[in-house]
Amino acid sequence: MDKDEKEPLLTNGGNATVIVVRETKRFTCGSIKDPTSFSHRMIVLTLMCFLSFGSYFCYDTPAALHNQIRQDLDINEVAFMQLYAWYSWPNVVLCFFGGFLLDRVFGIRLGSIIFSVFVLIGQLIYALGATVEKLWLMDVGRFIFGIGGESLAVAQNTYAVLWFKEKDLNLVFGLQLSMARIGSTVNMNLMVPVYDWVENTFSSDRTLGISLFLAAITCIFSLGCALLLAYLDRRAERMLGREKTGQEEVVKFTDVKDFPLQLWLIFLICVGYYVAVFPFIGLGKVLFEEKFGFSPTQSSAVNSIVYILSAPCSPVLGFLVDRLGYNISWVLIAVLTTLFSHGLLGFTFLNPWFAMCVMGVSYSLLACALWPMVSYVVPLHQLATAYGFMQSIQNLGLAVISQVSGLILDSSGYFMLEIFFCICVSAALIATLLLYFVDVVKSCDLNLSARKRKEKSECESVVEASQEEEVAKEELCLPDPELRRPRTAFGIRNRYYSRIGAQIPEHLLAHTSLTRTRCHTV
Amino acid sequence: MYEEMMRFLRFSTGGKISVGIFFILIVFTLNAEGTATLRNVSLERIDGPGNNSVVYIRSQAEVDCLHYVISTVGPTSPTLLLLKSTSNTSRVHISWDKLLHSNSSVVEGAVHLVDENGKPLPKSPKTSFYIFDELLEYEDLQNSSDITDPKNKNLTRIRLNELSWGINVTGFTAVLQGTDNNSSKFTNTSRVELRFTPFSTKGRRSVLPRMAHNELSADVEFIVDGIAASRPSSRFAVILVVANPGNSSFLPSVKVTSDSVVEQVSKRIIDDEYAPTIFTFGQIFSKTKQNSATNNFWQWRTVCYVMPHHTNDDATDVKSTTLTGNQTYVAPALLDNKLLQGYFGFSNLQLIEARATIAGFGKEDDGYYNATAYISWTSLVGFGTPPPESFSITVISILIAGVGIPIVIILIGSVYLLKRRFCDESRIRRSQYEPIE
Repeated sequence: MDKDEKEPLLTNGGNATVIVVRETKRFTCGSIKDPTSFSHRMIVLTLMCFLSFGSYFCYDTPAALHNQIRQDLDINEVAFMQLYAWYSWPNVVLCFFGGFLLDRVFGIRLGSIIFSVFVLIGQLIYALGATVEKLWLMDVGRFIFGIGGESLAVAQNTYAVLWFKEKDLNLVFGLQLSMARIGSTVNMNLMVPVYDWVENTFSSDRTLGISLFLAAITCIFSLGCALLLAYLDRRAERMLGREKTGQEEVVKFTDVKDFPLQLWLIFLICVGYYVAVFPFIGLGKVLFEEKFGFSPTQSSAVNSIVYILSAPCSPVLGFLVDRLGYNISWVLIAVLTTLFSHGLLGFTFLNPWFAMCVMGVSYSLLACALWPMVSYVVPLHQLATAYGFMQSIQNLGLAVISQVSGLILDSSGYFMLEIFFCICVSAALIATLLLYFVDVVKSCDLNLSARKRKEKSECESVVEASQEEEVAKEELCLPDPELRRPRTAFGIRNRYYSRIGAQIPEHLLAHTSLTRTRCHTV
Repeated sequence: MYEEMMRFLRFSTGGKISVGIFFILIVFTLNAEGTATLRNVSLERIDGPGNNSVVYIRSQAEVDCLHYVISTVGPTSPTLLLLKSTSNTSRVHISWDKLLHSNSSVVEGAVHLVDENGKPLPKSPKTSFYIFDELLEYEDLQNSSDITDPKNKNLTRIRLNELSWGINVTGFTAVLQGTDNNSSKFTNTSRVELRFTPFSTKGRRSVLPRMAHNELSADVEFIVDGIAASRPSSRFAVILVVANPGNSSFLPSVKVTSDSVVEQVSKRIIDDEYAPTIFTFGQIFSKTKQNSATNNFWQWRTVCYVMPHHTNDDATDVKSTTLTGNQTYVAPALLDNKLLQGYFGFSNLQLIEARATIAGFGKEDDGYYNATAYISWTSLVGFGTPPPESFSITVISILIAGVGIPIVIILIGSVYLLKRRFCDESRIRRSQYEPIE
């Protein structure tokens, strides 16, 4: 290839991103060494899922050892909830920068390794704080843990988009969520036995600290996954030559102001919904004991059912949402059913197993339907930033609402707390309704069926290709008014191609935007 | 798709509106019950010879008069006698000579209702009494806080009539303090205390457990403060003896055929706004058998506090046993009870079917009684049915807003979309061009 051929034809600013076709090494189709093969991508998916296992396992150690922490350190509920708040506070800022750091400073690979190290160090300090029975040191540990934890989740999502863009993205998000929840569930059910075992084996007064140090093993494991994943990703990048265009597009901090209204509404749904789930689970144990007369063991079980259910539900629902589309409708259903289950918990004495199971399923449904919507409303080069921002806002919500819900519980009890959570979900409901209407008005097609979306996406990519063709001709050749006709023969032909489901010819792809092209190339 | 969504929207809107109407109805119901009878409530200490005195609370309205008499005279365990008279000028008269007489048969009639001229009135058919009779201490080896657990050890019974009782009236509260200088369990500051606070209006106290009260009820706070526990894992409980003699025909040597019953229920409520994390009430109702009308009630949230300043962090459980007729607990309470002898007569009192409940204080892992050596248990006693616990205005307005705003958005959005669709259609109709597709 000549030098000219390797260079992009278009260099007109950020909007027209261009794939650089490189010479790549070819493997036999299906070889495990081939980064595009199924088996290879399954390995990557597994590593991706375990990347955040450690952080999710350790995230919920306070809830799992609620009574032990409160008794060993002699602290009240508010001080206890601080352990969660301190986790969330750094992420209010960091998730936002986390996206940028991943995009521009570290890159996804180094970034995920650094954040895994933060998670490990945070957990070690947290355990040390428990060992010397200093609450402030534990808070510091949770803070550092938080710095790594959420940013690691951003890295995980970015990896997922890099490897599984469009095709099966919902399923992948679902699987990641499952692994995260399995981490939480295993933690919820394992930490108390570990604590008891440590107590019986070592019979020291450092039981809590030792237990938490043992929990840190999962963080080491996740760090291993991060290292291996970085190696594989680097290898894939070298072989497939996929990185040099989109990811290093110059991202401006001011991109935030260009976020479409739909994205802000998605953020609002995210905040309203998640603050009604996580802080509730953090405080739920006592509700089941006091209001429903459950034993502590039963309470733990029913409290973790949301996590347990989301493990099998997320991939299944992710697959369904992937295949069916209608994302906003699914979000609406998830929000309404969660409102319903909070209503049941607050206003009735119906066995909470039912309400919590409903919440578990709808929680998984929401995650599968909501998060992928982000990738439909922002271009790929802003995706990491958008996800980072989403998690940042979510963390702001969690940090504030954790403390507010602690205060409400102390002053006004569980009934008010449930009403408060209903209001949060109600806010998410309002945002969902607005999103639906905005979507209809602006014809953004977030709520299209998967089939229509695919058709439309192919159609648009071709139309865009034709338009870019025109632009190119305008710029490079003669500004012929004839070429400005909305439908060129070129465009119509390509539309025909896409209608009958034929592959769009390779040479056209170079003229389409990266965002639209990915779906055809992956 | 669009039509499907519209159909969906219409469906969900309809559902929401009916929920909205439901809440509005609640508001009206709440407002409707806002009418209360004006009652004139007085609290006084009636002093007799020696250090003897009783607390008398009188609550007068247009058509009736309620009487609460609280006494430890005898000495007896603190006893609360509730009388309801249809004469609004009635009051309780105490003949101290009779009441303090050592011969039990003479005591009858020492306490009776009189009209404004001092003329005795017949016995009230709506009568109940409650006796705080014994303090129980047991060693909770299982850390289960279950008084009925057979594995408990070292049960100690402390009769409250063995304490020396003093009565003070401060403001609108009568305070009965029991101490015992001869017992090793009592130091200078140790005491068993009962506080009676009658109410003349509807409302709710600012101190936890913040039960709703009305003008027909009074607060009873039972306090154990600084009594030495025998063991580190000791817990305390109190025996409450209850009877609802009603209009028993106290004929000599005839078994009482009372038309009244006492029943105990446990009531759950969804609203713990006023006493966080407490969802249950213990209730004892004195009812008339025929129409099962509740004459009076004794109710408590199943919570007690282990510090004088009640906070959620200092809350622990109150677990009560079902009412029992077990004479081990009931009989001593009625024996030598001067107040009850004075009202019912000695022989009649033997025929009254009283029952007892044991209220145990504490829950698992709360550090046993010794953690603070303090217990405060609040009950509400009153005539008629207990005041209803209703949602606060805050709750209702939040609920209406939470349901209303989405409905408004659905309506506005639907109208806008319909209008837009209509405009589009008419534009297409006006258009000269055929759509390409």
